[in-house]
Amino acid sequence: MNKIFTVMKKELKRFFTDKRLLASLVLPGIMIFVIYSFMGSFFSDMFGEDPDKKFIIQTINAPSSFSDDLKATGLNAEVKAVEDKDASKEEVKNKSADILVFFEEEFERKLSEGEQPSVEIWYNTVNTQSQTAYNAVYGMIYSRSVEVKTVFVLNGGEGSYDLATKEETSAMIITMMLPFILMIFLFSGAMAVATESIAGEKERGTIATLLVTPIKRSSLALGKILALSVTAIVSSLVSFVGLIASLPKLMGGMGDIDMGMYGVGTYLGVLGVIVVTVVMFTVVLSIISALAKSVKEASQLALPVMFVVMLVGVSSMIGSGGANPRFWAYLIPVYNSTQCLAGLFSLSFDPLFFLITVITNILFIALGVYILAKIFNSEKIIYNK
Amino acid sequence: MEEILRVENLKKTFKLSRKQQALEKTKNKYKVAVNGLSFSAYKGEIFGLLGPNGAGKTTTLRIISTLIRADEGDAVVDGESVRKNPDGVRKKIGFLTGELKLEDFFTPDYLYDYFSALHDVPKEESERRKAKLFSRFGIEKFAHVKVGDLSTGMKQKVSLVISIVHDPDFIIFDEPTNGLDVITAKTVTDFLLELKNEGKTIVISTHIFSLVEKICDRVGIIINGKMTAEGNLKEITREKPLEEVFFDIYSREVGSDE
Ligand SMILES: Nc1ncnc2c1ncn2[C@@H]1O[C@H](COP(=O)(O)OP(=O)(O)OP(=O)(O)O)[C@@H](O)[C@H]1O
Ligand SMILES: [Mg+2]
Repeated sequence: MNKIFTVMKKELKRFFTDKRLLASLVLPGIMIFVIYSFMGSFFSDMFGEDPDKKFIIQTINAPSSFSDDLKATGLNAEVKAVEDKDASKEEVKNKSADILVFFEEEFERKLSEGEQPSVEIWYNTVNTQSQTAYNAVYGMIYSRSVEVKTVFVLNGGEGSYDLATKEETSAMIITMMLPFILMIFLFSGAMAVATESIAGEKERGTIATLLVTPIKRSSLALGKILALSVTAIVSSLVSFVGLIASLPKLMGGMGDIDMGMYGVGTYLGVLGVIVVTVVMFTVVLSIISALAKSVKEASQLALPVMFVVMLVGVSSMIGSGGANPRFWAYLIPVYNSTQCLAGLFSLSFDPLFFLITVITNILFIALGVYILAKIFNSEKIIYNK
Repeated sequence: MEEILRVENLKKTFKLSRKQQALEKTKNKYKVAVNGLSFSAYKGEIFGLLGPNGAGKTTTLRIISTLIRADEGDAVVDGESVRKNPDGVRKKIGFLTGELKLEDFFTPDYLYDYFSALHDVPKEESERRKAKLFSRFGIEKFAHVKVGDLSTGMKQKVSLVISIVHDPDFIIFDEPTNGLDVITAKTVTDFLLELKNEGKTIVISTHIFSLVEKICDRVGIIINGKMTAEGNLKEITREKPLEEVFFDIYSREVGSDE
């Protein structure tokens, strides 16, 4: 037990007193912050909103009472009747208007005669103003339809009334992708630390020096894993802080992202997922490092693993589309971590799945440490030229 | 004479990778590195394992120092078997070779303390021994310089010191003077003689005849993984110089093999 800490202390000293290594640990975090902040200001130029701006609502065939009804809802809107539906839709799309409310011809008459006239509200999700106006107008018309006890068709046509363009929607998906991005950063953090570790010692011939001492192989493996994990965790926390700090700027153009809206519990949950995931990555990469003949080979072997991590990460974001995945899916590492993070960020946290995720990862870690101790016990660890 | 090391019928075969096959210019998938090797070393002597390149010296010493496992046979160090109790053996031996490296990033002082701790040497005793050994080898001045910044000779001295932090009674040294300048080499061989005078048992491997003649009490000539001659240096060299004895054996062995 004592020896484990002796080894751990030495490895940590190595990481935290070597300026170059230390820099390589914190640099990714700083880079995330810089890059994302930069991307953020770029986005906010694209979709920036002015809080004092009036909502611009265009109408076609609107009943005479529409303007007043809208005022009654308290929406600061400028209502303008227009003629050309397609031109107006174009304006909503390029955000010079917020929404278009299109009433069927002779709406009032048809309504009073018991027909079911239709209303269409065209909007643009990428434009927050449009989203707000849409909600207000939709609510108003809907309650009116209840009031007059007459069913009329509200946005009843086929297809979407959302006029957001593809590129803009993809910008929004970034929000969804955050857990995945975080996953990649966690993996690269662990990779920077763990890949070199054992393969490097093998290459430089320093591991044999250790192996002729009476220290237990398992203690050596554990001491190394602990030190590597602590280091990788520090590195990923720096990345995480960088990500969180730059997030409001990154998302600023697309709506209110206030990281303060998450409570301590959410952050603790995120921290928990990060820690188990990083340690799991570290153990896997240490095994690769122990099996490789050189640092170069270790990095080559780590690449396909990174690919798998990315693949699983992506599929967890795209595959479920936010719906609750099946139970067994939470037994897949990376997939469960990504899902858990997504759940935490979207405030739809499931304690059971969180627990399963943490336990699954811990089991993988235990298995990995066992395998690593086995490798340390075999000749492979010293010479396999 | 008390037998400190007994090597019995050691066998070790390596599976060759394709790269190794190309390197060794062979089509064989396997290489028998050590082939039924036996010998003994007795208390207070320096035993020299003499053999040409590829004879199996390093492999033998790695097996004795528990770094690798023999396929067959056993080595017993002061009553502990490498097969049954490798941990026990590790406590009793100091192993040194040019290929055992120290991490460049750390200082000799730090590494000494680290290895001392791994060997469970009590702190006070460790400090006393460190002072003595550092002064003996002129390491004091460099005690706080990173290993990476030391000269090759100084590195080798630090390695030597660190391999004996636990004051072992049995020391294995693979090619003790390889790659050292004459001055550092002399420091090392002088020290080996000093250790011998303290009553330690030492096994070295080398292909340098003069080194064997200078410091060894007994010698074993190893060729193709087999012990072809073992005995007192004086007895072996009674009629001919060591070099001639060696070539006689070598031509007989290699001739009979082909
Ligand atoms: N890990 C290994 N894998 C494959 N072959 C090996 C391995 N280690 C040693 N060998 C082979 O076994 C044989 C004996 O090697 P060994 O290093 O023991 O010889 P040696 O007597 O120490 O030679 P040298 O004087 O060159 O150091 C050589 O042919 C060597 O190539
Ligand atoms: Mg050798």
